[in-house]
Amino acid sequence: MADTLNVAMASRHSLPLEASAPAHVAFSSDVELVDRCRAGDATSWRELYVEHFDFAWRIARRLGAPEAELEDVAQESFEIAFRHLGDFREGRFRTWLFRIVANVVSARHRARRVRELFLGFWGSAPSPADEGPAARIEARQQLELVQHVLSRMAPKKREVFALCELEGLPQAQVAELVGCSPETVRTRLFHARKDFERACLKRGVAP
Amino acid sequence: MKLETLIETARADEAVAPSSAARERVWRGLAAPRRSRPTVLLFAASAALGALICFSVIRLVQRPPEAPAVAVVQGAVAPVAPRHVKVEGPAELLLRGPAKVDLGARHVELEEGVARLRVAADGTGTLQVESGTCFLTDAEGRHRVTGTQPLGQQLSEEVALYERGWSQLSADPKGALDVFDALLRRFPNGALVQEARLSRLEALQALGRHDEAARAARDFLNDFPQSERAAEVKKLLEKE
Repeated sequence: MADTLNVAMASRHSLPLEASAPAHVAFSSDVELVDRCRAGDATSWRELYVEHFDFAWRIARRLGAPEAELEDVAQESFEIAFRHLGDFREGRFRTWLFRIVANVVSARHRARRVRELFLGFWGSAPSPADEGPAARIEARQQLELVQHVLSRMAPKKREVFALCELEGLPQAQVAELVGCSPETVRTRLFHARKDFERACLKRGVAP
Repeated sequence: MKLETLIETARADEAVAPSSAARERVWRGLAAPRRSRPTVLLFAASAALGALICFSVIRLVQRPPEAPAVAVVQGAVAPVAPRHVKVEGPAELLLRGPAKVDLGARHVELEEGVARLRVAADGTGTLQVESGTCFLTDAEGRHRVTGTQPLGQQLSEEVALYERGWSQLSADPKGALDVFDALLRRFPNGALVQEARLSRLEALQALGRHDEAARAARDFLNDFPQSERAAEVKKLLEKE
């Protein structure tokens, strides 16, 4: 499976996260924008939001947030970002925003697991792999399965897996986003692939 | 289904690209934040806070009103500051510390406890400390009072000081000046204030401090234009 994934990664050519913002928006540097936001400039708030909204959305989705919760996740993440804008001192705003989004998604995964645990006691927790005919699972159910598996991975492995495998970012960029060395990214990715593969196999997916 | 297919499907997920409508909905939500689903902890915290507020209000309503720091049994006082009054005539006060009372040249300071103060028209009286810590400040300084302390006759003290200064005026005008200054500091509204200021003026003249004497004379005439001593002061001023 590892070879298959490597080939698939190599064939990917675009970096969607880098070109996600609308072209008609005039950009200022992160630091200038954030400074103006801190000063209470409403236009700058909007500019910052527009520039980074798609990134936050994509990250949330890649980390396994259900489609129905993406708007809530995005809103919660930007609320946190705007509330703590004073804490952003240096570096790239996108790196800082990534951490916020990842934390928000992790918290929701945890809450969902707790709910499912309690529902499981009452015998009412649905399993995504049980829906539909066993012989044929539609794309939507496949996505739900991926989301289900991702939600149960350890956060650090989930982040690296989502950014490398699903989003196709180079390991150096992933290292910058998650805040570790490229070597650590490689190690985590190795273990994340193993965990993902194991979890999928348990749910009837063929290797 | 194969693992590879699963991964490819996830990579091609269309939901990773937000719609402009979603972008605008979230923006509007930021401007008017949606109420997030309350958690059990939030409910518990709100309930606990509400219970605490109710309990505090009930306790506040049930609690007896706090006794005043200075309860006037008879007479009249003028407020100076919270828990601080000035006696303006004969009075009887019940003090609950912390409390302060101005008696002109004397001050009573009850740090804590209970004390009873009686003041007569001539400034005499008693300070009875029933409990706690109380201080009395007078010409001799600040000292702690326990039990019952008689308050000295103010006029006799004032007269004694004036006579002392007067007796020194010829032989020791500098000493006399110091005595009159002390008298005026201690009894700024005393019965002999005009006499003391006139005598002080004479002491300044005797010391050759004519500018100060002239200034003191003008101040006297400004403060006491109808005084019986005004004519005397004018004469002294003409000399300067």
